Amino acid sequence: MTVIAEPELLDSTALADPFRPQLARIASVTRETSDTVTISTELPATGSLPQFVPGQFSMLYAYGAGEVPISISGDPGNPDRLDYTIRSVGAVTTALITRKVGDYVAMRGPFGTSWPMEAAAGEDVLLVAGGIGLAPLRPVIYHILRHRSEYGRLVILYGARSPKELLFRKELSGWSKSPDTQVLTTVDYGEPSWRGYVGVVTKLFNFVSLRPERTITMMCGPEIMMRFGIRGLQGRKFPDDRIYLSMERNMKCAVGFCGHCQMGPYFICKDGPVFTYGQMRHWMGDLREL
Amino acid sequence: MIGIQEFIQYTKGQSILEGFEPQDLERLAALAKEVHFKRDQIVFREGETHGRFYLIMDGSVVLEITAGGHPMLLQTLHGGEAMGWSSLVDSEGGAHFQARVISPVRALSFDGPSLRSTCESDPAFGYRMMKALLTLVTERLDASRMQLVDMYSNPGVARA
Ligand SMILES: Cc1cc2nc3c(=O)[nH]c(=O)nc-3n(C[C@H](O)[C@H](O)[C@H](O)COP(=O)(O)OP(=O)(O)OC[C@H]3O[C@@H](n4cnc5c(N)ncnc54)[C@H](O)[C@@H]3O)c2cc1C
Ligand code: FES
Repeated sequence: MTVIAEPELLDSTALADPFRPQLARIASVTRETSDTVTISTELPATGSLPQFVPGQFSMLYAYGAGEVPISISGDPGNPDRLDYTIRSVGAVTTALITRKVGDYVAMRGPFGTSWPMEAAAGEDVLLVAGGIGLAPLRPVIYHILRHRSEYGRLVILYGARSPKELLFRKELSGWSKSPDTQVLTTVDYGEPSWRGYVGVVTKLFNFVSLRPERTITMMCGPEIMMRFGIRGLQGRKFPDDRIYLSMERNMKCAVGFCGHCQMGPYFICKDGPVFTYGQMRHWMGDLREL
Repeated sequence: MIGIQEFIQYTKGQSILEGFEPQDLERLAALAKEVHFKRDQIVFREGETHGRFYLIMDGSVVLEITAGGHPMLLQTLHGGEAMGWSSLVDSEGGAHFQARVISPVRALSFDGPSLRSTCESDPAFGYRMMKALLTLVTERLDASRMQLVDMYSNPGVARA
């Protein structure tokens, strides 16, 4: 069985110098939607990119604009590339998505905890993603498909606002043809040519048969979507400690020094971004945070 | 009218019928008619008073509306779901949406006014029917609210 490194083995504070950025060259740029781009980075000379585990993020630096946390969205089995899927929402992300092949980007990390790939071994895996939230889950899908026999059923539920805003459309269709894998996609509003589901992502729970006690759920998306998702899972008796979430907060240091990303007793950068719902229960759902 | 055994078999995955007593199912079976719709067939049109309530057994239907001259898909309904609940309340005016079949549908169809008068003549049944309906409407309302919130516009970074 392939064992994915435990989060603590990749403790970010143990990196040589977590504040020192490394320059990487953009090897390819893929436009995913009108505001989202995937950049694939490689090291300019010989050397190796830092190892990562699904769920981790890097701090990407765009000169003159600033630095932001972005999850690694690529294949953990391909050590020569680090991919990032970036949605443009402000100054830094816009600067990053307008980078071209051959440009350089500075990055720190990878930081943070991983999705529970070990705990999920031998279990069914339910992935629930909304919008850009599919990007941090994509390494999980690559990993499971690469080690298919080590996991049970894989169910991917993905929601976006409209068909035009769905990420990785070709891949979604490819994944749905993988053994013992079910992919259901839904949009809030469809166009006449759309043949898939229309409605919120939580409605998709009705169309898959899952065994709550044998399923590990990993959920990533806007916090409000995750709150609705958790409610739907609880109604179906999924135990809180088998539901994992990736949390997002604004970050500065990314290594647990500045306190910028604090949520209750946790620093999202260091103790997360992946948590069980059991850990997050008391800290989610505060409407002031939306 | 459908035999009770057949009705029970047909409505297995229908969560809307979960709180119903055996005699309720018999009443419903007596009012039910099996219907089939082909792909792209219109089950009811916007503004039309179709007066029917459906329990979808298989297939899919999309509820759509024309906005700014363009059809917009608002929700899909699938096996195990109900459609046309407004026919059970004494509402003015017709359907707010058009229902179009996207994959061949097999459904149980109920005449809204007959179902309503059964509810009125047997208040215990009527109460359970309205409770089931309210659950359905609440689910739909929650889903519409979630759509209105536009959950995906902000991937969740709360500005610290
Ligand atoms: C652990 C972690 C992983 C992340 N992974 C990804 C990822 O894989 N891909 C990705 O695209 N983003 C990801 N993000 C979010 C990303 O870091 C932010 O979008 C980014 O910091 C915004 O910076 P900016 O300078 O472009 O925008 P800012 O100038 O900081 O913000 C511009 C405006 O957009 C709003 N805003 C800020 N962030 C968002 C947002 N995320 N969505 C919508 N509106 C926003 C702000 O309120 C502000 O009004 C992640 C965040 C965290 C904490
Ligand atoms: S970003 Fe500084 S403590 Fe988390």
